[in-house]
Amino acid sequence: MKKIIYTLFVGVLVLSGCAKFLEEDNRGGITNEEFYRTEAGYRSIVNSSYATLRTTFGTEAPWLLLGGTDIYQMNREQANRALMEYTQLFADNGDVLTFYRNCYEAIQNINVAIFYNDITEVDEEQRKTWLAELRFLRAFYHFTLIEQFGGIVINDEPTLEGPRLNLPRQSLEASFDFVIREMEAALPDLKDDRARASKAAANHYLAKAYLTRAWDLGESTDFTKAQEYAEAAIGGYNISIPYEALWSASNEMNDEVLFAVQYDGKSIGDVSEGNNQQSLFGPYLGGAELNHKYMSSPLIPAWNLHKFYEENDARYDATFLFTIYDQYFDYYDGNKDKNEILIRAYYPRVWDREYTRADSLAWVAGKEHQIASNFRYYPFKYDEQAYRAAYQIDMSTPVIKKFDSPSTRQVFSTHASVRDIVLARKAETYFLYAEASIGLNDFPTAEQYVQRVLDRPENAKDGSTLKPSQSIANASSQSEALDGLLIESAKEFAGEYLRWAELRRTGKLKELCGRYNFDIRRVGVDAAFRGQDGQDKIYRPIPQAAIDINEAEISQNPGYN
Amino acid sequence: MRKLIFLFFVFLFNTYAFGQNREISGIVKDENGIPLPGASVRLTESTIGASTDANGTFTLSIPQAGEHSLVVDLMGYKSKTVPVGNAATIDIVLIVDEAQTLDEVVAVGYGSVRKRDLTGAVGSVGGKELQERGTTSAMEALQGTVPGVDISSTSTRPGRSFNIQIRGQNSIAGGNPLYIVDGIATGNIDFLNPADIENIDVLKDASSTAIYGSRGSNGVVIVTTKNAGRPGDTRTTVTYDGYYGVRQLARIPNFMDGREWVDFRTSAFYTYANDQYSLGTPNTILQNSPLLESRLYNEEYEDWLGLGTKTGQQQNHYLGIAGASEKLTYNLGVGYQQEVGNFLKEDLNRYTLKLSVEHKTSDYFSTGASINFVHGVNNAGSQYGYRDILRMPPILYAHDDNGNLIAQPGIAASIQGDGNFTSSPNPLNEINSGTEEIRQYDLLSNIFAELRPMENLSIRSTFMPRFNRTRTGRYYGIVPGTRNQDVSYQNNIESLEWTWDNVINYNTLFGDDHKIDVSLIQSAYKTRIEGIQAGANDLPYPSQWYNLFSGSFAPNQSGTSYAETALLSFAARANYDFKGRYLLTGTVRYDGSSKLRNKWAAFPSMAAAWRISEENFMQNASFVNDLKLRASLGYSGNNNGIEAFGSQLTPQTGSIIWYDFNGDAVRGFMSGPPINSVITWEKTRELNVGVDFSLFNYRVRGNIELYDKLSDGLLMQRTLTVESGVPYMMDNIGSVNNRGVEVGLHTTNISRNDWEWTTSFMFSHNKNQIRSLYGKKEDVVGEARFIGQPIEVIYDYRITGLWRMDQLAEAAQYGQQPGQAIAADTDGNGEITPADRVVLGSPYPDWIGSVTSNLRYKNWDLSVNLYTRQGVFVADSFLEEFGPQNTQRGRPKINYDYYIPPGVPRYDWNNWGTHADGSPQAVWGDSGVGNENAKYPHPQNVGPYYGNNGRYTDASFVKIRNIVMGYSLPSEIVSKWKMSSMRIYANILNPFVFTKYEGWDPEYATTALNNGNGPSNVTYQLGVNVRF
Repeated sequence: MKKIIYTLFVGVLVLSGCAKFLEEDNRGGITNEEFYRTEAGYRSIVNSSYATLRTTFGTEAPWLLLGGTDIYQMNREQANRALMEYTQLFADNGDVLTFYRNCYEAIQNINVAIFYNDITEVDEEQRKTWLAELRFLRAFYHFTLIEQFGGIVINDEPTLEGPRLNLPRQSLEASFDFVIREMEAALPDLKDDRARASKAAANHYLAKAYLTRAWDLGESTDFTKAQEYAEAAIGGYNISIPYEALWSASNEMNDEVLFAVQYDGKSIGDVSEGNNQQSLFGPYLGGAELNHKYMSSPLIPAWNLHKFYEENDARYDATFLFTIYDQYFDYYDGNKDKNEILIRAYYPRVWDREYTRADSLAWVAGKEHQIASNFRYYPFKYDEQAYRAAYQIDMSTPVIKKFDSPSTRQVFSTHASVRDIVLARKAETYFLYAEASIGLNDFPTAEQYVQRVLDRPENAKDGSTLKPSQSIANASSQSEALDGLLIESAKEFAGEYLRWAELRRTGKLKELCGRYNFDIRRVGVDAAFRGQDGQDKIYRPIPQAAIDINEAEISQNPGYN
Repeated sequence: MRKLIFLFFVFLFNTYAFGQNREISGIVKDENGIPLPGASVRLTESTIGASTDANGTFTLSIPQAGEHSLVVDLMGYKSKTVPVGNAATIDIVLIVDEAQTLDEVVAVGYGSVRKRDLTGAVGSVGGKELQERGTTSAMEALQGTVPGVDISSTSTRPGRSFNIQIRGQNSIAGGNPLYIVDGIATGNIDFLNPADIENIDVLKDASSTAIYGSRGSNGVVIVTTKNAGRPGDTRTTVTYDGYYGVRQLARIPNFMDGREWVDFRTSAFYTYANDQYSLGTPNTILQNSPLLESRLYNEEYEDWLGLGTKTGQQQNHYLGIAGASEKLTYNLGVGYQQEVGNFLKEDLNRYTLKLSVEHKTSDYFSTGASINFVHGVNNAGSQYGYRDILRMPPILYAHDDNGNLIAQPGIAASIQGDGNFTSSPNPLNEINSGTEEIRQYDLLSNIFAELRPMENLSIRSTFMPRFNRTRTGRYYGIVPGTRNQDVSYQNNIESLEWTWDNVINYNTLFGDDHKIDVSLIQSAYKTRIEGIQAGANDLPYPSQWYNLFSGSFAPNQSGTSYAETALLSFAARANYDFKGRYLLTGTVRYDGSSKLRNKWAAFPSMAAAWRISEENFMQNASFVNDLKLRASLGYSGNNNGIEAFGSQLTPQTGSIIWYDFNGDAVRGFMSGPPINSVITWEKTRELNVGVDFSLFNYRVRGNIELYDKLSDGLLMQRTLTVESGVPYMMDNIGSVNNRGVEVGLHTTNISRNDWEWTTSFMFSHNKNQIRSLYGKKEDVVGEARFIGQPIEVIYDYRITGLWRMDQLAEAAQYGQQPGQAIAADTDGNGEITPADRVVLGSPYPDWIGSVTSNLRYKNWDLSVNLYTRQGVFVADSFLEEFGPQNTQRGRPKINYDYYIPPGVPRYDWNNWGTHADGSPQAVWGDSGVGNENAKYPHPQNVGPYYGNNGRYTDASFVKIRNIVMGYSLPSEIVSKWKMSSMRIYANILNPFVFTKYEGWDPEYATTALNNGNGPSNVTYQLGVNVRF
C-alpha cells in the first residue's frame, strides 16, 4: 500500500512539473531577438549579408552575366548551350533559376537584417551606417535582377513568421523606382570604406541604374542624372594604375576599385571555398597531375575578343597568359628562371599575317632546352573557323590570367581563387559616363571619357597613347558610337562581369551576337533569338519554378511564352 | 555429466525391468525437430504414462505382450496416437494445433491480448519465420510477412537500411513507424540480431496505435526478444543458431562493351547546326591513340566492375542460455554477425550481448531488468570510389604493364594519345585510399517494478533509458588527380532518450459473462542529442581519424550540436468482453509536445469486435471454426516533421559564414528559416473494418482488412515563392487520404504424419490521394502536388517519340531539332507549354504481395518465399548516372537505344586500316540510316521538353526472396551428441528476380549511387540450429 501512495505521489510530482518538462532549452542556439540585440549578433548578420555576394558571384559560373555575348564562345563540353546560343533557352533553365534564387535568398538575409536594425543596441551612427549598407546591398541585388529580367518582384520585407505566397511582379518603372529610391536614401549615411558598400559604390550604381533606365524607358534626363552620379563616383580620380599592376594579386582594393566581392586566404572555411573566377576563361589545362590551374572552362574568349586588341595594346599581354611554363603558376614565381624552366605551351601571335614556321624557329632559337616533351603551341590564326576548330582540345587557346590567384597555387580546385571579384571600378564609371554621353548624342565627350581610360599609364607598348579602334567621336550615329564604345569596353573589361547587361541595355545584344558570336552565327542570329511566340529573347526568362509557385500572376518575358 | 548419470539410471532401470515388461524410450519433437519437454506420453487404455524431460525424451516400461499404442498430448499441439510395434525407441513428431493459435498472445502496447480477443488490426510474425529467412537484418526478415507493411531495401551494402511504410504514406515528414523493443522505443531495429527475436507484432489501425498517441501515427512495430520461460518451469536450455554464407554478384545489367561505348561516345560528339548533325572533331573520339585502337581491335577490355568487387560473405552466430527457477527467470545471449560486402573494403561486424532477469518476489511483487548491448563496426569504404568504378570506360585499363595502378587511366599519357580522354583518377586508388568507419554503441535497458496488491490489480512502473553513441570516422589519403592532401574527419553523436511509464491495470469479471480490463497510463519521454564533429587535412602521417589535430584544422567540417525534445502523455484504455462474443475497446491518449506552441492534443479511438462463430446460429456451420468481425475508428497524430526548437526564430548558428573586408576576416551566421507559429499536430482519422476467420478445421486461416485514413493538417515542407528568399518551411498544408485493402491467408494444404504443406499469401493495396492543399482543392503545380494524386508523383512531359531528320520542318515549328524528344501536347492547344506536363506515375506500388510455401516431409523441410511490388514508377538513380539521363559524354554505360543521326561518321568495326608501325587503325564509316526510331533522344541534344524522362522507369518486380531446405537430424544421432535437436539447412537469398528494370536492382532504384545503389547479389547460406 505504501508503494501505491508512493507511485501516486510521484505521478502528482510529474504532473505538477509538466509545464516545465515541456519547455525547450536551446543550449546551442539563440533566438533572433536575443542575438541581434547585441552588437556582435548584429555584426554577424551584416557580415553574412555581404557574404551572400560570394554565393551569387563566386560559386556558379557567371552564365547569365556573360553567356551568349559577342566575346565568349562555346565551351569544351558545350555545357549550357541554352545560355550560349539562345535557341534552346527556355523558362526551365536551371542556371537561370540558380541565379534568380541566389539573388532572392541574399535579399531575404538582408531583409532580416534590416528588420532587426531598430533593436540593435549600438551607437546611432554605426546603426545608421549599417542600415545604409544593407539598403545599398538590397538595391544592388534588385538592380542586378532588373538587368537580367526587366520588371521584377520587389522583395523588401523579411519572411519570418508564416509563408508569403503572393509576390507580384512589378512594372519596369516601379522596379527602377525602388532601386533608385533605395540607393539615394542610403547614399548620405554610407562611408568611404570601399571594401564595404561605400558612397562611391552607390554613386557608381546610381549612375548605372539611371543609365539603364534611360535606355530602357527612353528618358533622356536620366542620361544627365547618370553623368552626374558617374562624375560623383569618379570623384576626380584619374586612371593611373598600369593594367598589369591593376590586376596584380598584391594590389587588391587599389584606388580604382569601387565595389568588389572580398576574398582572402584567411577568410575561407576550406581551401576549395574560394571563388571560381580564375578558372572560367579559357580551355581545360589538364588534371592535377600537370600542376596547372584547374579550369572549369565554361567561357572561352572568342576569336573576336582577340581580334579587338591591337599590337600596341599592353593590356593584351596583361590579360592573357601566352606562355605556360612548367607549372602554370611558375609565371608568378620570382625564384624560377624563366629562361631555364620548361615551357609547356605557347600561344604566339603576329600582327596582320599568319604565324609561320620561320616565326616558330626564330622563337625557339636559344630555348630548345626549355621545350617540354608534351609542349603544345597554338598560334593565333586570322581565319576564325581555323582558329576555333581546336576549341574542344585541352590548352588550345590562351587563358585569361588577370584573375589568377598564385597564393593558392597548390589547391587543385575550380574554386581555389582567393582574389577579390571586382564588380565595379572607376574605369567602368568613365565608360558609364561615355555611354550616357552617347545617349545624349554627345559623341566627342563620350570619346573623351573612353580616352581617359585608354590613357592609362603603360597602356601602349611603344609609349604612345592608344586610340579607340573605331572612332566614337566621329560616329555617324548613336549606334555606330556605341559600337566603338563596346569594342573598347570588351578589351578593358575582358572577363569582368559586365558584358551581357551592357549589350542588353544598349540594345546591341542581338546585333553584336550576330556580328561576332561564331556559334550564334552558325545557328543564324534570328533563329537563335526567336522564341516560340515569335518574339526575340532579349531578357532572361523568369524561371518556370518561380512562376509555378507564386500565387500572383507572373507574366513571362517575351520569347519564352 | 547429469546426462551421463541419467543414462546410467536408464540403463539400470532397463536391466531391472527385464523379464516382465519391456522398456521403450523415445523423443517427442515438433515439426522442426525441436524437442518438446512436458509432453504426456500414455499407453492407450492403461495408466502407464510419463512426461518428456527437458530434452523431450521419455522412457516407459510396457507389458511385453500385445499390440500397444502410445497417445501423446501437449498443450498447443494436436494429440497423436502412435503404434508401438516391436520398436524399442520411438520418434514422435507433434504438429501444432492451429486452433490454438487463437490463444497466442499478441502484444498491443502496454499489455497483450489473446489473438481471439483482438479488436484492432494487428499483424504478427513469429521468430521462427523471421529466422528462416536467413537475413542479417530483422527488417529484411519482416519484409513481405505482414499485409499492409511495405518494406523495401535501400542499398546493397552491409548494414544497409530499409524503407518502411505501414498503410501508405500519411505524411512526407517522418514516415517511420514507432519501434518498441521489449517496451523500449527505439529509432529502428537495425541493431537487432534476427536470431534473438521471439515475435514481431505490427499495430496498423488507429485503435491499436492509439495507446501510443502521437508516437504511433505511422504504425507501431513491437518486437519481443527471446525471453526465458515461465517462472516455475524449472529448466535450462542452451541454443545455438548460426549460418555462414557467401554473397555473389548477380544480375549484372547489360553494359556496353568497348566498341559499343566508343560508338556512344562518337554519338555524344555529334552537334547539330545548319539542319544537320556533324562530328566536329573526329580526332577527339579516340584522341589519336593507337593503344586504344589496338584494344578495340582485339576487343580486350577492362572489367572495372570485377576489379572493384569481390565475393562477399556473411555469418551469424547466436548463443542463448535461458533458465528459470521457482521465482527467477533469466535469459542470456551473445551474438556475432558479420557481413562482408561485394565492394572492396566493405564490411560489418556486430556484437550483441543480452541479459534479462525477472524475479517474482512474492504474489504481490515482482521486479526485473534487462540490458541489451550492441556494438557494431561498419566499414563503408569509399562511397565515391564505388560509384566511380563504372564511370571508367571499358577501353581504359586500370593497371600498367608492370601491374601497377595507373593514376589517371584516361589522360593523354596513359592512352598515348593527343589529349585527355578523362582526367578522372583511378577509382581503385580512391577505394584503396581509405575508408569510412561507423562505430556504433547501443545500450537498451529497462528496469521495472510491479505491485499486485489485489489479484486483479497491478501497478507497474518502468524506466527505460536508451543510449546510443555513433562515431563516424573518415580518412582518405592522397589520390593523384583527386586529392593532393589527405583528409580526415570524425563525427560523434551521443543520444540519450528515456521513457518512464507508469501503468495501472485492473481487470474483473461480473458474473460469468462480463469481463473488463482497464489500463491507466502516464508516460514521460525525453530525448537529448549532442554532437561534435571535426575535420582536418594534410596529416603528417596517416593516423586515420585518431589524431585529427596533428593536421590542419578544417573549420567548415567542424562543429557541435545540441537538441532536446520532450513528450508527456496520459492515456487510458478499457476493454470490455461479453461472453467472448462481443468485444469493445476504447482508448484515449493526451499528448503534450515540447516542439509546438500549442502543445496538447487528444487522440481518442474506439473498436468493437463480434465473434460471430460464438453465436448459437453458427453452431451448425461446422466448417467455420472461428469468425470475427471487427471495426475501429480512431485518431492518431504526429509532429515528427518539426525539429527541436522548430518554433523558435533563430539564426543558422550551425554553420559559420566567412567574409572579409580588405583582408580583415569576419564571420557571421545566415538568418534562419522562418517559423510557422500556428503549426500544430497532424491528425489522422482512421476507419478500419476487418474479418478474421478460421475455416475447415483451421486449415484455412486469415484476415481481410479494409481501411480509410484521412490525415488532416498534414505536416509537410511547403515550397515557398522563390522571391520570398526562403526555399521552404514546415506547414500544416493539406489533407491526404489512404485507402486500402489487406489480405492475409494461411492454408494447410496437406497435413499427414510424414507430410505437411502449408502456404501463406499476403496481399495489400493502398491508394494514396491528396484531398486538399493549403485549405483549397487546387493543385500546386510548383510542388508537383495534385488533388486526387499521391503525395509523391512523377510530373513531367510525356514523351511520345523523337523528331526524325525528315521531320525537320515540323520540329522547327516547335523550336526543336531532329534527335530531340517529342512531348505530347496534352492540352491540345497546338504548342508545347509547361501546362502540357502530366503525372506520369508514382513510386508508390499499386500493390504488394507475397507467397510463402512450407513443405515438410519427415525430417526434411523446404520453404520458398516470393515477394512482389507492382506498379512502381520511379525517377531512377542508376539511369541518372549510367543511362540516358546523364549528359556527361563518358558516363552512360548501359546499352540503351539512343538516337543516331543518319549519314554521320561512325567507326567501321568490320574494316581496319594499318598504322605505319603495323598496328591496327580504326577507320571511319558512316551511320547509314542511323537509328532515328530510338527510344531515347540524342545523348547531348535531348530537347527542351525532355525533363528527367531519361531516368523514369518502371521498377516493379517479382523476387524469389529465399529458398530454404532443412534437415533435422534423427534423435538417435542427436542424443549421442548430447543435444536435444539439431537442424541443418541451406538457404539461397534472392536467387531470382523478374523485372523489366534495367539497373542494378529495382528495390533500391531511387537510392543515390554513392549511397549504396550497387550490384545486386545472391547469397548462399549453410546454417545450423542446435538446442541442448
